[in-house]
Amino acid sequence: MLGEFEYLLLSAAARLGEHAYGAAMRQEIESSPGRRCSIGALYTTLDRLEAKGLIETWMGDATPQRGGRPKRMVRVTAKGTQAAAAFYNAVVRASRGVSWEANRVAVRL
Amino acid sequence: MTRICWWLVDVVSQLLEPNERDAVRGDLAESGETGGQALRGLLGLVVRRQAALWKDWRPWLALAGLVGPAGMLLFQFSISLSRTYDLYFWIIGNYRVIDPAILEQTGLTVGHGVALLVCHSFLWVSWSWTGGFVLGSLSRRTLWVNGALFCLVWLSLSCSLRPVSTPKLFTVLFWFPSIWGVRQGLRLGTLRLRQAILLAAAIASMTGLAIWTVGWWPGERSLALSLPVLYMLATASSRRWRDSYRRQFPR
Repeated sequence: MLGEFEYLLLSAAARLGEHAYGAAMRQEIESSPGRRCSIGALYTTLDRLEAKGLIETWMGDATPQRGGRPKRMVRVTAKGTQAAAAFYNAVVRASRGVSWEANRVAVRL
Repeated sequence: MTRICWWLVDVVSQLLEPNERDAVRGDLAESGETGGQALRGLLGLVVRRQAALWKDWRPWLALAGLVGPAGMLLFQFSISLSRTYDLYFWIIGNYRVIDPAILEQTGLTVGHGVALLVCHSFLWVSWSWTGGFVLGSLSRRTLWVNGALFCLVWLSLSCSLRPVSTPKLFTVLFWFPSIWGVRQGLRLGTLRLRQAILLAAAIASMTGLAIWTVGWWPGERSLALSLPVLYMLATASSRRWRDSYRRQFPR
């Protein structure tokens, strides 16, 4: 089972597609209000996801706006897609009939 | 301030793997963060990376087996060696005025002294080199932590002994072989079996000779300082065994 942050990274990588790399993924995650993504958390989680076989990474091209430094490109593997889908379904199933709005839990029977 | 922060970012990022360093520095440049924010983020990553390295048993073995015990024993040995040198240099300096019968009686002859000093200097250099080699091969990327702690042990022992200080000659004879050993340990990891056997045999015979001639330095301490060479022997044998196994049963 994935962790929440792992799921967020997989989602960001999937959304960015061929343009998924460290800085772009951070920007993608931080575009949600109140969400912070430190570079330490990002790179250690990417390593963990790669070790689990959920993503692939490789060194990409260098660009001038990066001071001529290469990017660490990210691609979600088929196993990663399955794991993210399983996480999403689990959250949807667990949330069925539950409302978290306005600090109260209302269970619809 | 910002310039200092970016300079620190450059320094701290050296602790990362080259590929990761480039990617991270590029991300920081692209995200347009201030020097302080970049430094904070980078420190977080470096701390996580270093913490992950300490999940392995090797850096702990280097810390527990070498940095503390070997540091203290080598320091004690340097004091003992410097006293022996002082004694024999005094004898050689005053040779004409000392009654040779007294020297014969006490066993402090020049020939004995020279043999002793050669033997002990060889051991001093060998123990420093083997200690450095094993420290380098076990610590790898945690070397800067273990190396700094080793220097701290050495420095605190030196300060605790003031005003008596270790002679510069022994300090040089210690640091040069140690640093060379660390470099070799980082580069090679293990010695070839033949080299390890030769080194272990030389150290064992010199240690035996030193204990037998004077018995001046307790045998168990000498044995403790010879542990790095035993480790080198063990890793060289294991490497030899692995290589021959791979040759016999290629995948």
